[in-house]
Amino acid sequence: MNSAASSMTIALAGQPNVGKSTVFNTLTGLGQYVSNWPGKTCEQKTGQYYYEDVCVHVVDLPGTYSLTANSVEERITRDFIINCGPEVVVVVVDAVSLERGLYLVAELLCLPVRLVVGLNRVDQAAQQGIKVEAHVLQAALGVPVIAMTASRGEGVEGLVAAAVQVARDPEAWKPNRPGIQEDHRPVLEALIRLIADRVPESYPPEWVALKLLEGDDEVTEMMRSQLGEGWAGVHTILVQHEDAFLAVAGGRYEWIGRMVRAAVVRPKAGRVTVTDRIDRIATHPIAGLLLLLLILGGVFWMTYIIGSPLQAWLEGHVVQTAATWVRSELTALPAALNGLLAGGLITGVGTVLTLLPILIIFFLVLGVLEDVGYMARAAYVMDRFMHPMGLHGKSFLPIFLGFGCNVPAIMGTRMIEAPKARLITILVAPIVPCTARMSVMALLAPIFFGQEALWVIWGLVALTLLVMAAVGVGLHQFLLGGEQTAFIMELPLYQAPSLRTIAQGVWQRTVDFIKGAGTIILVVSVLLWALSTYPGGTIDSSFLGWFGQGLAPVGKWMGLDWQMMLALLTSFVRKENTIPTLAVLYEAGGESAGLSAALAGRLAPAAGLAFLAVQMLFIPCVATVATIRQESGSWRWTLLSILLLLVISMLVGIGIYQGAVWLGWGMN
Amino acid sequence: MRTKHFMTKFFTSKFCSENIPLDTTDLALSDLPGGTRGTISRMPHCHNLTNRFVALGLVLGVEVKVIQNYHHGPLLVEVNGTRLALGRGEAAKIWVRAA
Repeated sequence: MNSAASSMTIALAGQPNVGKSTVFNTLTGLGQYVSNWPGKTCEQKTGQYYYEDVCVHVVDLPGTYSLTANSVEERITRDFIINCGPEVVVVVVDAVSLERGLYLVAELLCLPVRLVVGLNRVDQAAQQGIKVEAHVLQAALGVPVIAMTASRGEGVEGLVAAAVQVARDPEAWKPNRPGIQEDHRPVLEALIRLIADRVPESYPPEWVALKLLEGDDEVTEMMRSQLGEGWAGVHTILVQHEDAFLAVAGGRYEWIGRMVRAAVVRPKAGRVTVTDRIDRIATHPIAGLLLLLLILGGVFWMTYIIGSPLQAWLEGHVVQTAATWVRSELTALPAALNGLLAGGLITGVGTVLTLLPILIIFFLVLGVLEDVGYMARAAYVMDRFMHPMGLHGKSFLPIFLGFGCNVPAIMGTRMIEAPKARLITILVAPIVPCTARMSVMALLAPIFFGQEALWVIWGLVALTLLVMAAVGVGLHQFLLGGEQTAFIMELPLYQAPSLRTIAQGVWQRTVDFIKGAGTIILVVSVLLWALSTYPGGTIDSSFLGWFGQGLAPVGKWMGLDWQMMLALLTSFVRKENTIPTLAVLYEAGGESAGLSAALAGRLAPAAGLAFLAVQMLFIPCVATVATIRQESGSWRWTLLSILLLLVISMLVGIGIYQGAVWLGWGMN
Repeated sequence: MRTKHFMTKFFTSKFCSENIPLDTTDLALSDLPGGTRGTISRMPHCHNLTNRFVALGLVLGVEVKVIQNYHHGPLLVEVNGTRLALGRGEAAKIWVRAA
């Protein structure tokens, strides 16, 4: 519809928590395209916006504080700008913390691209008595500065207009660039002279020299191979001026000081802001913990009141009805096809469908807490408890959500920036006993232990959490060598939640789950149906049944017969499956009453305890495994996670049984 | 116990010679009590860590306000209108001159 001449690409950059995604969502609405950056597990969002007759492709770059530290987000941002050459980069900065935002602007100005600055949250700044004059800042920077309040959509169109204008008239764009501190100027120039003719074409030599002084790993590696023998001279300068990176940063902040001097008026006395008042409670070591508990309690209450009934309704009225209908009405179909439909496909779709209510509630809560700014406070309050596992406070919430369901827990790890900390959290989260596992436990423990069931349940939950902590500590030693990653986190100012941003987040995560994990769940469900049906037609004469019987020797170490082992295997589809499988295998007929009669007296207390422990720690369900695959982006880590839990659950089961037998609980 | 560990790491690490010379009144940011202010006088000589500090506004000569410091666990500081949570170990590596 548009000719190539009237289309352009702008990249949206900005630090985290400045409202960049609000700007992106306002511009592109639902017409977003989400994929991963090539070779990375980091999300890439693109969209389109029509300004007059120009089709503007908007690329949302990951939020980064600078382009210096060596994180995935920073690499993606600068690689995109250097190699993909967007016409204009729009940088969103927060008027409340302008100096910090301009640090990113200072870095971007050294790259070969034209900038437009979006000065966001001018309303919040005004509330705090901070006055920022956009046109004065624009005059100082030599770069268009557009004042906006993105949460209300104000100024967003003006931002695009300015970007289009800059693209149309590139010559008029004359920025005031920052330099290094005066005393280090000669060093920088000497360095530029040494490298200038060997710098790859798309890179500006001065930027490369600055990055060398800053100790940037990637650029250092690139120039080392480019220069070959010439590297020695560069290396000498870098060693002699090891402290030059402070001069680079100092130069940027001197420049920032000059830029804001005339443009910003701050209130003399610090005002007590809303954020101050809320934080007095929210970040207090005791009151903050209580508040967090209250919020989490509320979340689980909501899941219990709304989520579980909806889930039960979907299961009873939609999934079961569909399966029954297929079995009774589609008799014209060959039996195999009918079974495939009712037993495999509908089970798979049903798993995805019944998970949705709880997922959406969790995504909604996560979205609200994040948008309001509370999430960082929860992380701050929980930080000290997560340290032994090499994790920060940010890992707490995802892990805690696991008590509801492991799937949103693993999807929630997206907010952890450090890749290794995120991986540890992904591997640890499935150990948290979810409601499905707890419901199996709640049904079986009284059958095995009668009056003492409650103590057994508490003990096993505590054991599970201990195992989780141990795995966390172990992975921390193994993956990070016990090293603590630095804990530096911004606590954004509190703000009213933006419904649009939250709704879009919930929608995006839900679609991601259905498309990514949903597909895997469906395939595995069909596969498992086939394995549990063929060749014999009943579960004990199926491939899965034979496999379960093959596991009998392992089961013996835990005092379990093959039926029990098979029940564990079928819990892979859904954790609740343990119960119907046992009912079928022991020919108990009706569920709990019949099962209780069939099971009572069959297992020694030692074996019962071992079974419950294994059931809690066993391989997570298909949905969780599929989500691990989706979020870790690797089958290797997914398989490792399965294997890890398989080995741990078996070892714990054997340990408990042998220990209990030794204590004399081996007899009925 | 952990503070001690970080302190030894801190004293053995190298510092920039051109920083403002240390005053006898200078102290680690982690020792600045809640509600007080200080000016950063020394930054650690570790590129990765300092680059992260700098990007968030923690830079030589800037005024830092400690909002919360319970002498255990992370602390809360404010710099140029930005609130930051800092691990105790990280805060022990920044020197400040109390205002």
